[in-house]
Amino acid sequence: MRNDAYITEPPLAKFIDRGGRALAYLALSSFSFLQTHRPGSFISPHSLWDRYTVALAIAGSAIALVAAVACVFKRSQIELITLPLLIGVLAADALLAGGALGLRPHVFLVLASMLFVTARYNVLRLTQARARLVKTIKEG
Amino acid sequence: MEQWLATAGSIMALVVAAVTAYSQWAKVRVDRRHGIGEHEMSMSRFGLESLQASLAAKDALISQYRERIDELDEELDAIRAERNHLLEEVERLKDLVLSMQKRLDDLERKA
Repeated sequence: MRNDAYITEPPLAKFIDRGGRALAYLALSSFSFLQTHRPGSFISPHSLWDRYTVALAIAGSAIALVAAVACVFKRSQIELITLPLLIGVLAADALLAGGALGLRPHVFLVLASMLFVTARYNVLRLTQARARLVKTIKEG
Repeated sequence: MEQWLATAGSIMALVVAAVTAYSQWAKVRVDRRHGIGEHEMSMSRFGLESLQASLAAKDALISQYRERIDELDEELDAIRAERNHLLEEVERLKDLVLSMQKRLDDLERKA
């Protein structure tokens, strides 16, 4: 029994943190994949623009899936590499959707996802910088 | 027109993302070469462990520097003692030379 006045970390904090983040990435992946389910998306894309949109959605889905797998297997450095790509794909998606549809809920949803991913990316970058600092201090 | 602008903007976003991801990949490679892996990342993630590690490293460094300062102080004391001894020796030799000179002068005078 600890004598701390406050519990500094709730039980299973790291597990819940990782699991929740992996679920969020999986949700993002499935959301991106569902964007490809439009009439004729795979079979007969009408134009180059259609193909580009579908490719973007598939790429976003695949990158979010890689991020989810990296998160589950505790590979934060791989997550750190995939997140800029995910941010870029989401930004491109938001721009395309905003250009085609105007300010619809879809655009805000993508922007919200992008902000979530950006926040996580910044946390990982800070972690990386702190790891370097700790290593430098330890090595003297 | 709007659609073309949006497409061009999205392509630019993708290019910037690719460049950023490449730079991150390069950074991670350099980090791994310097021994910063997943373990170090997870150690530094939750503040307490990293703080404890930094404090331990700081204490170790301070104790090392204190030991070195003590060693240098001892060396300095030894050098000072040797210098004082040498100065005393020089004074003694000067006195000896003077007394011998005096004695020589006396002998020459007698002769």
